[in-house]
Amino acid sequence: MSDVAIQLIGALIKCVVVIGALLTIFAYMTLIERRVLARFQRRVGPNRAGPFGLLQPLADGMKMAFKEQIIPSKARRFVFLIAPSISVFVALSAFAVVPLGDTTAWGNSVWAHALAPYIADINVGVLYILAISSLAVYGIVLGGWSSGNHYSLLGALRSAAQMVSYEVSIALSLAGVLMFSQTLSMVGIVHAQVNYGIWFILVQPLGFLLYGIAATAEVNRAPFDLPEAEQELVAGYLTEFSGLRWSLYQMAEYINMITVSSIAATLFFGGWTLGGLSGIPGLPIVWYVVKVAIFLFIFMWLRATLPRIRYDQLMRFGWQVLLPLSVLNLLATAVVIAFGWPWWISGVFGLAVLLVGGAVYYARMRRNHPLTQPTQDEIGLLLPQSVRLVHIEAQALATNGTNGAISANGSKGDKSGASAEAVEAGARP
Amino acid sequence: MADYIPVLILMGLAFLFTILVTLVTFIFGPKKPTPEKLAPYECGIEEIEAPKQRFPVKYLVTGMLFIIFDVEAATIIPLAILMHSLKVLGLVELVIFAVILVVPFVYIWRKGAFMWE
Amino acid sequence: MHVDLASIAFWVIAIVLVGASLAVVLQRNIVHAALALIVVFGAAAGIYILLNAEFIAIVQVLIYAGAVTILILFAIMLTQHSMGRNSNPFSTQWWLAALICILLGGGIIYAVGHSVMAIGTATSPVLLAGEGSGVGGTVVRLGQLLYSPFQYSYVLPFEIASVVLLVAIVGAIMIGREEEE
Repeated sequence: MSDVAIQLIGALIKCVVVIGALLTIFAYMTLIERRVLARFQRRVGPNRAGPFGLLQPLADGMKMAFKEQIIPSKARRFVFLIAPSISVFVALSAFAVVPLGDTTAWGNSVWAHALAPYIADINVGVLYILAISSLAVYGIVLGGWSSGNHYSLLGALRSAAQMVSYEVSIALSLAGVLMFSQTLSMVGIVHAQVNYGIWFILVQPLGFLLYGIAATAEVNRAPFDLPEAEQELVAGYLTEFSGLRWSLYQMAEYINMITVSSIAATLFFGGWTLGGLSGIPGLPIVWYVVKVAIFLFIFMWLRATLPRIRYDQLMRFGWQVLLPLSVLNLLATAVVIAFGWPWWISGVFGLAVLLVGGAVYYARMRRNHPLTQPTQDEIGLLLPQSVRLVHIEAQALATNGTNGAISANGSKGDKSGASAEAVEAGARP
Repeated sequence: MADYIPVLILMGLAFLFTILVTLVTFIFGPKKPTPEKLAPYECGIEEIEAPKQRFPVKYLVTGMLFIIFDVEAATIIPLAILMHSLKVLGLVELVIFAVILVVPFVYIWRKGAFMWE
Repeated sequence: MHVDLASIAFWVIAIVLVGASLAVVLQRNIVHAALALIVVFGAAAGIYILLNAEFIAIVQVLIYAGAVTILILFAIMLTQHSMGRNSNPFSTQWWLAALICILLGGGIIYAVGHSVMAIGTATSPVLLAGEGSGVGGTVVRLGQLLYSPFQYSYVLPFEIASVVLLVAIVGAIMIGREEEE
């Protein structure tokens, strides 16, 4: 076999494996996300199909395949037909340059080169991902616009402006890392971290946070999931889609989550490295998977925890907070590099900005929403506003002796009530 | 250039996959269209007015600003990876570039370009 | 073998490129025309990659396919009749345009085939010096050309580019201001 043929066969095998793996992970992530969200909400989640519900994705897939494809009479047929395909095509293509492991120990044979654990190592790797994922907006905009439905159109409008607004911040927040790595190649960036002996999260804490926020918005996940805000827009751009073509959109969303998590893991957390443990064969890909899995869990955690933000807040946050901060991060990193200062100065600067920013945010929030505490007269009339207030109220009632039922468990309530009040008093300005 | 052949293969397979899924779903799915089913889904309420399908001007402005800042990012990134070798000269170039762009940024901020009601 | 692959790739991309360009002009539905434009930009990026100009290829996708076309879509969707079947109507002078295009195309093909300059610039030593240098590749080379102040002094155009962007930002905000009045 000629070298070229081996290269082609290797590439083909890798592509099939990657697509298959991404689709399987997508299927099981839907299950895992439902189970995790259920635990967050003290439910059990789907556990009937197979052990631990492991056959649930299969059942869902089968059901989707046998659903009717509705093409609404007002839809623009051609665009409506291809829109979900665009989303998935873009999502799958973007994964091409993510390195899953190392080749330095593999020797120099043709097969080692052909089966390297990444589909391609191109000189412009990071920009490639950015460029390809900038096309993701078309799937959503065209899908929503072609549906001929108010909700879909609103979802498309929102997603267009949202994805476009946060994309610039992504590119600029990654530029700090690129200054240290001196290369755009994803493989090269991992090797740069090995050479430095540190992960770039230590150098770029601010850049990482900015990237994380912008990437969450870019993949339309909570709390930035306005394009499909179900309380306002039915399902946003997804409203008129059914069956497998609906799941194509879901698939694109989850694959995009995996891709942005991979970028975060590769650029900020050393990709497949973990100290000296990445020399053992087979382990690098485990570290990579673990890192990506942690980020995917954080995505679910955010969805379970944070309420959706308002649209004007979303746009203002993207342009007025994220963009200036990423330029600031860029300039500060440039200063550190240009004067040849040690790397930790950049890290300390990032942490300082994070602390100051957090303090400013907290102060502003406290000014706009001061901590309220019911006065002595109101206690007993007010309904408890939160779990914490229940303790205060129970304690107040117990001391007043107006309600025997609550003071019955007073011994426990007294203690936690007193500590809760101490916390309240401490937090008061 | 040879580096890009695997990327092309991945794109080709992804394309085939999406075609396949679309075909499968149209082959296996039932086809029983009714006028009600094909009507736009408006939560059971009959549609009063067809969507205008027109984007407000605000989105056009955001799109234009996006292009500009995207160009900015694309010009800064090659400078970023060269910052190590250019040292202070690179920093000066970057600062001049950034300052020239901060001025209109502040201007459009004051003009309310980022205010959405 | 390698050369064969490259020329096959070139012809495939070229056919896609020309076909999609024709679709942009001939499609009667303007949204379909805009979609074809994305394919045109993507195929043009492919040509750039064949020429070893990776950075330009990626920027082509990032700026043109990703940003300019979405702006064109916004503009199309801003206008009233974008949903119509015949939203991209033919001008009555289409035959004149076709004639000019054929003449221009013929001229360009003749020039590329016969001019020494056209072949000469493609192999100019400045551009090829960075090729195959390993680390960074063409992006680093391009960056050195653009940003090294003593070697090639394209620094001034780079700084002037930011002034162009400044004008563009102000222009954009002026266009979008009509609601206030």
